[in-house]
Amino acid sequence: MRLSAALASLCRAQYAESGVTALCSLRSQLHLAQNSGPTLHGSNTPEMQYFHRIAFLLDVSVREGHCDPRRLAEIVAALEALETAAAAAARQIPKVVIRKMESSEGMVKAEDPAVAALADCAMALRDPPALHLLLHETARAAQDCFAHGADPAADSNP
Amino acid sequence: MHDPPSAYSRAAAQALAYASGARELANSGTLPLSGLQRDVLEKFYPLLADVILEADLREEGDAAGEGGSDEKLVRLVTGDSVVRKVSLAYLLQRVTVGDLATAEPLLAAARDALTEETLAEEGPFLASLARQLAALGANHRLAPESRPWRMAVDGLLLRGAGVSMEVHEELLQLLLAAAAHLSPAYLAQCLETALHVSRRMRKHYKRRLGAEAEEVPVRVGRSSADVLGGYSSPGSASDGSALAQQGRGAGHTLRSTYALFTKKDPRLTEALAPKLFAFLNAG
Repeated sequence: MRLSAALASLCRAQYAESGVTALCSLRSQLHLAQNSGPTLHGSNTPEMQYFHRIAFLLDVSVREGHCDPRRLAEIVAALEALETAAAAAARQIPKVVIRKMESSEGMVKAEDPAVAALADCAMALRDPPALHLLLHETARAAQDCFAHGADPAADSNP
Repeated sequence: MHDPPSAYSRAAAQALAYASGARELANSGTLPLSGLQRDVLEKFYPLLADVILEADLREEGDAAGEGGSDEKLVRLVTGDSVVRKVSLAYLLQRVTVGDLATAEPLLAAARDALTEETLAEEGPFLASLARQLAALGANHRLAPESRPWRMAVDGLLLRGAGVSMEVHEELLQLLLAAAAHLSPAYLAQCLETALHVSRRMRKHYKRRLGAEAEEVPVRVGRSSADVLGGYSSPGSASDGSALAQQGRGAGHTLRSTYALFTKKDPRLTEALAPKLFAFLNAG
């Protein structure tokens, strides 16, 4: 467990430094390779449960080439829950900062779990296939909404 | 047409805001979310609705617009990465279905809004755009040198020819398919611009391939049976050199694609495109 946490931390730090989006793919694929299935078992923190849910839903959506409103709503709900937790953590400790690697030998693990999980989720969303799927679905939703005169009110109450 | 965006669009905008802020979030743990989201929802969608509405009106027989871009749209697409990505995705979708009346104002906005840095991030978009334009051309739904075509080629694809090898190749395929319908002077200008813009990328690519090509024969070169633990057939000794040739060949592939232009189109003379011929003769 400590190893995967260290890997996750390394992914985040590398991505923050380089901006290479392949690291986002690596982050979520590493996680999904270790934890397959829709729910996360074992003694995991609630933050990890949220991240797992998002990574899993995005992965399934990319495989199917489709992200329906229910899945998207669940993703956004998880993001909001994490955001609330991160905001609460930020209130407790005035400066919540995900520390970057201090030296090549070791890492400082003074990350707030909620903030770290939020960064993980953002990276899972930034993963190129997931991002393109979301963009495609957004463009399609906009087209449905504006061009064909579909009733947006009906769409907003699924 | 100023409907409130649907719940789906709202949720998607939120998720996209996280995606675009991912690096920021990994870096500092803070995310300036609310501003980004509001731009997409409150400013961009109404503008997009106007674009669609105007395109519908134009289709009903009015003369087409003058190819200028909406200033507000340009400012929004320049300033916000989520808006930029959504508008490019929408543009691509319109081009894919052949709805050029809607695609054109968005193309104009993208042309004016994308800077060199942001263009460099949109390699996959550019490659897809070139592919879709070529598909439309193949179905005779879009004439080469028509205004949307010129807008995409001059305004986006030629500028982005150096972003990645993929964009470069897709652009060449697009030009090759359209070559017969283009004036030789314009074609020559396109090809030379593509060469000029992509010189750094081609050099980088060549160096990388060269390094790989040199590595392979060294590994396999000395009696391959020992290196591979006796697991090699006579054929595999040549595998390395075949790979190396492939590596060296990639540079040639590009050159041979360029050579196809001069072969296919005798109007393309050395006087018209001196740099193109210099490139071809250098190989």
